[in-house]
Amino acid sequence: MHDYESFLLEFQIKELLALHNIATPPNRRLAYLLDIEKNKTQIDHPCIIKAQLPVNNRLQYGLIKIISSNNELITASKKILQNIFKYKYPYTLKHFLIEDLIDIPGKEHYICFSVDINQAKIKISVSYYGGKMVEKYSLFCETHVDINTPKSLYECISKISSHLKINNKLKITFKNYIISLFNFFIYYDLRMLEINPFIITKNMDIICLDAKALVDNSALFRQPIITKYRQQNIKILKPLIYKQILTNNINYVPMRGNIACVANGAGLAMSTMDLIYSAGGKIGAFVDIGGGSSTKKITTIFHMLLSNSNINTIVLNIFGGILSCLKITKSILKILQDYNDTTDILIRLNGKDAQKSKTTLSSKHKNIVFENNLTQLIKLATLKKRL
Amino acid sequence: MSILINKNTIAICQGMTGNMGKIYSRLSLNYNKNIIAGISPNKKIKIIRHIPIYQSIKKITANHKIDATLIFVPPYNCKRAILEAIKNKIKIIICITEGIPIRDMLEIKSALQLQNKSILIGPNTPGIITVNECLLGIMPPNIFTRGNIGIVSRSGTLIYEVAQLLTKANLGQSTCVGIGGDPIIGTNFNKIIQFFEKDQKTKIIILVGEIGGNLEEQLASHLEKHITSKPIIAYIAGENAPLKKQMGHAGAVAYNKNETAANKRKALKKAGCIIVKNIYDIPNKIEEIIIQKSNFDRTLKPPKR
Repeated sequence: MHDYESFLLEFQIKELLALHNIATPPNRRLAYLLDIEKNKTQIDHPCIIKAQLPVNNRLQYGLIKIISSNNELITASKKILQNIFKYKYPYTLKHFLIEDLIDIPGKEHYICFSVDINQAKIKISVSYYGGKMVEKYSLFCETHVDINTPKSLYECISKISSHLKINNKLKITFKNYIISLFNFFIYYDLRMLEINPFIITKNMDIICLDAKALVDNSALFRQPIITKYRQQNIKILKPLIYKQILTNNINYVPMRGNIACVANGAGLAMSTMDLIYSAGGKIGAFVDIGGGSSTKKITTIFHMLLSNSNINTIVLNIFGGILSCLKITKSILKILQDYNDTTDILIRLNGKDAQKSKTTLSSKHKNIVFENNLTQLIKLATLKKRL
Repeated sequence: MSILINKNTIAICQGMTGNMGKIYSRLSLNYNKNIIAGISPNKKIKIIRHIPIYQSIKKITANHKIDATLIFVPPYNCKRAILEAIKNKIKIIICITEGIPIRDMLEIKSALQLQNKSILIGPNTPGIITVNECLLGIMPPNIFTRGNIGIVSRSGTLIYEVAQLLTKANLGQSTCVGIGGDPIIGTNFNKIIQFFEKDQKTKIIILVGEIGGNLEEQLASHLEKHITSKPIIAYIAGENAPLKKQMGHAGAVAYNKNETAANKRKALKKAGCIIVKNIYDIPNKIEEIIIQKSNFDRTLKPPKR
């Protein structure tokens, strides 16, 4: 799946952190735009208002404001909306998060948990400087934890504690904080959890001021709460095509050209894409149908491609192993009954039921071409240029 | 003997009675009768396709020596199945399943590193085939013909494409291995290349890589330290893939410039691999190599049973 949909929003992560007794700023509440306009939210002490979008550097782009009264709240929310429009984010704003401003002095640091794929371990990365200073003064300390070895976690914690210059009096509180975050990271099958910043106050409290997270889509079957959040988050994506991709769980990457490159298998699709580019073609959609796809998924993919006005050619390269070529051709036949289309569909079939499938489609539609030589087929595809 | 699996391999199939296993175990069962039993905790099914079903691996290893296991167990239960195979010291674990959670793979990798009896091929792989001897996986058998060329790949369908290309050019294959398309997999390229190096039946190796991860870079450093006598022809898919987009299966994401196809080609070229940019150039490169070799058999007859 794709990055833009495996995110969790700040308020969602904070709701979960609170369930696990990890401290977040007090008086957290969500405000809808309408509530603010109708004066339903009351502000009578210093608070912070934050746009709930999965974007970086919200402070820098004016999506976070500090407010102390209702008037300031209304002005701030309007200003934030203007900025969202100004910077053209591909998201619709649904909520503002409002919480109390932490005015106790303290030190702000950065911590990030992520899965290090190359080492097959969990990476913990900290920086002494947190908040907006992270990018400017980034001095990171990275440590790795083996998921089955608690000892490696404790070793990491001592390394992190000395890097962040944690006071002796705070060592135990800090250790418990890291262990809680680590367990939280594992419990929800997260791929990434970034707390930037967390503050260690003068009163020795450790509070997560902001949070970002990415989820492992393969684990959704055992994460009902995360699945619920994900379904909510699909609605804030602006482009319709992303909503379709995520709701239907399709491996589809939209691009800018006129040729759709469709294959059953990532490697086959990528090598077909490379050949199309070599021949001077431009890809408008990259689709991996995958091995075990249902007829419904295949018809959805073709609906999306045929209704996309940018696509005037589809290159379909199928090597049937698990997937039978018959399934593909039957699905295409079904769809072409609904579309009176001028899209050229250039098909190369191999493997399971290849010969049988050609007869189901061949003479019926003038825009369909079968060709076994892929180089030849791609040459034909690049002849029809962008409209 | 051939790498990993051969005509004498005795295998079991975990998840044989499930939705995937019921349909797809047939290919491996019919190829050369290497699978002697299935494993399923379901007590109701005792025999399927003339193969007995045991409730646990322990029950069959008590009376039979098992070399390999083919796993079709669905993602939610795969960790348990793989850990059971590791616990029972099954040498070769082939996991076809796609979609195992990352956290589960971290635990599996941790368990694999603590022992040295079992190796895991996959997950998200079409399996392994040693032509005319043993198929443990879902590869369509008729595209392969027996010969001296080994194939190792991250992508499943590209194994089919390359094998078919070779067969059409009258160049046969020895063993073809799919190491898997997931971001975290059991065995990297290094070990497979080492196996091919020791295999008398493999004289040329074809490596199919792709964007994402650092498996190709790991191989490049391995090759710089260990001399490999057999020529390696490398093709990397995804030259034109945009950054940070998942191009199909989960392992095919180039998060930064280090994980691009261009970078991987550079590393492998420096380590002595022969690079092809177009997959259809592979037979030509092989012809160039064969001219220099005196005893190369293009294809071989099937072995006597």
